[in-house]
Amino acid sequence: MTTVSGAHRGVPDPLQIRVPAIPASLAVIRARLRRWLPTAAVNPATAAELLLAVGEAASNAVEHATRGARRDVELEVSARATETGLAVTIKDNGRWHAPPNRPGTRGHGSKLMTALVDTVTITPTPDGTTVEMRKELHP
Amino acid sequence: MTNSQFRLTAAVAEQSPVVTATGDIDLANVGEFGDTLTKAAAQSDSITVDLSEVSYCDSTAVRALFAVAATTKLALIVPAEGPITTLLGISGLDRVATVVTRN
Repeated sequence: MTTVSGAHRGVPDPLQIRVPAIPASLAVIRARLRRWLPTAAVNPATAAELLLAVGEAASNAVEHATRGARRDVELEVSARATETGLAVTIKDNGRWHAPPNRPGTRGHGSKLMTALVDTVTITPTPDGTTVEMRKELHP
Repeated sequence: MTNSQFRLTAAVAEQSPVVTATGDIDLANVGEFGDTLTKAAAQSDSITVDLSEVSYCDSTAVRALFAVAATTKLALIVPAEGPITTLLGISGLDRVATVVTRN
């Protein structure tokens, strides 16, 4: 675990998770986030929304980034406090596959993320995909 | 993952079969969830899925529910709190299933 840092009062240490892009890692990411979010003064309702938004992005990476990848794909989740809320990044080094848009399928993933957090930015590159989310916290 | 996370209660009299799920549902165990739904749907033309004790589920669970809803009348019991309502609304699952909220 992290040691005491020079963090200001109420500002949590950033969270950094690096796991293989496999289904079993999704529970690891949730467990770490469930422990970290209360340290960032996030209430349970908002924490559940963040957990789902991050879970969608991570699940999508596990399902699609690993398909046709020439190397072991890793997932990196980082979370930090901003002045007004939280910034969470989900990054993979796999391949980007545009989500199909059929009813009831993963096409709803990004729409769901947008509904749960304030901004979602998806940046696909040949070396992987980065999903950045911002969630404003209203005390 | 144990089977007890997804429990199937067989149809009794006019009562349709009930699948009771607990804990987290994600990519790692959604196959097992889907299998339980399929088993329930094989017993009856309508099933109830109780998600009120589910602590986490995402689009992968929604996909499994959509798959079973294609052939079976589906009733969902969901917790009053939490983002599951958003999940059902965005995916449109709330338009193909009857959704009951439990406090």
